[in-house]
Amino acid sequence: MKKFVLVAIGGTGMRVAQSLVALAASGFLSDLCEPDYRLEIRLVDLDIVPGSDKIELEEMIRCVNEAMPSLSIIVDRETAHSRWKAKGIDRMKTLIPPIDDRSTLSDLICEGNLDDSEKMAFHALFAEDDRTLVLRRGCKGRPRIGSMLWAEHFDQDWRNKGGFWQSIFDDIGTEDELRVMFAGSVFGGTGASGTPTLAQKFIRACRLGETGNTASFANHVALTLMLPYFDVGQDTDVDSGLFAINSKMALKYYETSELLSEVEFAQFVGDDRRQMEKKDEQGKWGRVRLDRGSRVDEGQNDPSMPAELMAAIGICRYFAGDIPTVNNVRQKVYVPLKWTNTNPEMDVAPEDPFVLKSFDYFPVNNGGVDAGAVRTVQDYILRLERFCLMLGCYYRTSAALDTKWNYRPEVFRTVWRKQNDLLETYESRNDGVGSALAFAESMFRWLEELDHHGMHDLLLIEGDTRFNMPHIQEAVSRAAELGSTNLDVMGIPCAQITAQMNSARVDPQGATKYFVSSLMECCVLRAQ
Amino acid sequence: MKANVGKRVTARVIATLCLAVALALIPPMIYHNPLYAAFYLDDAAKEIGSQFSDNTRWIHLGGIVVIWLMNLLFFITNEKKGDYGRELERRTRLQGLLNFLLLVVSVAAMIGYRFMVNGEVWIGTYLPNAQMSILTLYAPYYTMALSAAILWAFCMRAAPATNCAVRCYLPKKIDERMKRAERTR
Repeated sequence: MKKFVLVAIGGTGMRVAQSLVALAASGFLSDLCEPDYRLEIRLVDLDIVPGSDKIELEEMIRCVNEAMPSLSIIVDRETAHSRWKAKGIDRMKTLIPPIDDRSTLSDLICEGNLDDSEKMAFHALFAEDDRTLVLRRGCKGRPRIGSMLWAEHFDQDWRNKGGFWQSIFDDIGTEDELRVMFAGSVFGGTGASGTPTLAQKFIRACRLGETGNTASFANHVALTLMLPYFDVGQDTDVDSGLFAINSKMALKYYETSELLSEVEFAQFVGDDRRQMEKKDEQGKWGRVRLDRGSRVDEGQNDPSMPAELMAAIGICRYFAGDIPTVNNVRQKVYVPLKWTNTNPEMDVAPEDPFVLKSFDYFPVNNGGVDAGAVRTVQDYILRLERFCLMLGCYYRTSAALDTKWNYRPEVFRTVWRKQNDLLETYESRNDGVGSALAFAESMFRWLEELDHHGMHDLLLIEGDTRFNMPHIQEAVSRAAELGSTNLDVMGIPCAQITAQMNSARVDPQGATKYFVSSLMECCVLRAQ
Repeated sequence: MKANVGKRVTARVIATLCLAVALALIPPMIYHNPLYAAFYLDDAAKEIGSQFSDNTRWIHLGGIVVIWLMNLLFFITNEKKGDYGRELERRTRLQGLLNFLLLVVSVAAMIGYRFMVNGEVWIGTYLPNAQMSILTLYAPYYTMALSAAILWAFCMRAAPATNCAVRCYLPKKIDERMKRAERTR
């Protein structure tokens, strides 16, 4: 048995984990490695207020796991080997820091108990801003705050049998393969401080083997370190102007520290510094803004970006044992590049955004003879989009239509008995596809954020008023309102999907699960 | 999944084809002898009787073939589109209307042919005036109408395209069976 653990640290780590969850759900990870594996995600963050990246990730994992019974039925034996092998998250655990809603660094250090010299040192190292920052909202790009917390917390928790760290070894024997990936940023606060500290402590503690036969597990530990790839507005308490200098200092640290020699593999992933925008409840995109005066219960919730997808692909490859090679030599430190150019005429100026026009910018194998069965991430991303559009838009709209039962899609007649309010049943978690819908919505949010931040040419989600092009959901809903199948669902004709769905074979005992799994089968692009 | 689409489509096409062949060939064979016998025994009447019986058979065959082809065209369109709702409803209505029109046209073609053979002096000249003889003479007409109606109903209610509802009890049960999955997880 194999066990893969991602330790996601800080907001960036959480968003990398979101991309990993999406890739696992798309079947990408299962196609890269043998299907018999366990996937765990461990969350390390201070920012635990509602609406934060961490809460969003937890919600995403919950949606995937709840939908799994519907996503894992083999509906066609002939194509079973190449089917969409969605994978949920087998376990998720959160490192709970010893802070409450109002904790600040001063509270943790118990400033009142320090003597004068200690107090002076504390004040010299940490400015007023740092000392009074409410920790529950994260370190806000200040690694000096986080580094104090993590080292101490690791030492306290390591020997705890049911604790955050020991539970990683719960269900594996010494013969089993355990791969652990630590992911965080090098430029932020929580991630930049937690990733190197926790990875190094984990490796050394495993090697010491004080809590059991853990030495072999130290051999498969890797790092995903995110270089600056976004900007936030000026009016925030995260100073993104410091990202470059923070990163430079962090890279210098990695260059001189022993950490890189101790890990099996490290990938550094960066991108153009794109301005981050998040969709609000009214559906309008607005800049991510974190005022100093923002409420304590208001979390930092940033959008998903292409760089995180790139990192998640690298994580999947590492879990599958596919470490990038150059001239057949495994790379200890790897920087996935979207594009290498030897022609100066094709250079992109630093101030111009690099538009992603091909999925080939995301390397999924070493190429040549080393290229495995998976040649591109394209269909994995697009199958998710197709599924979200068909389940969340097309069939949902057709369920909402006030039309005669005999003129409903045939697959509805196969799955449900004749009824008036089909939409209510359709959206129900018991009699309908409610859990799969929640999964689709969660995935579509992720896709839409990628689309908005540079992948529009590949995902085609957002509309364009200049060309009178509606948002893809609107276009799909419009077609569904007419009962038309005259549209292309990201490379697969809608008519082809509906024709196959109309002949879907279902077990009356679990008809809705068969409906969802059949739709998944139809959303996989196969050679015609 | 594609295999099941193929299976359901093939079953429907074969079923309608078999029914169309049966409806095109069998009813004219049944009414052929009684119709021929209804005419007077003289040579002129028998020649007209033979001519009428043979040609109505061809008209019947043609009518049924045209109706089957028209329904097949709708079947292919429905399969190609796989749609539902207003679009399907509109197309289904058109299909029903065209079936009706073809039925009327086929019967009208037979009536027209009958008047082409001899428009004025038929009954009483070649055929006895008895009610039974007249009813026998009309056999091709109502057989045509009945056959066309059966084919129309079968194509639209028992073996429609896979995006349409099956409304006949037995075909519905058979179709439900074809859509039942084995439990494999």
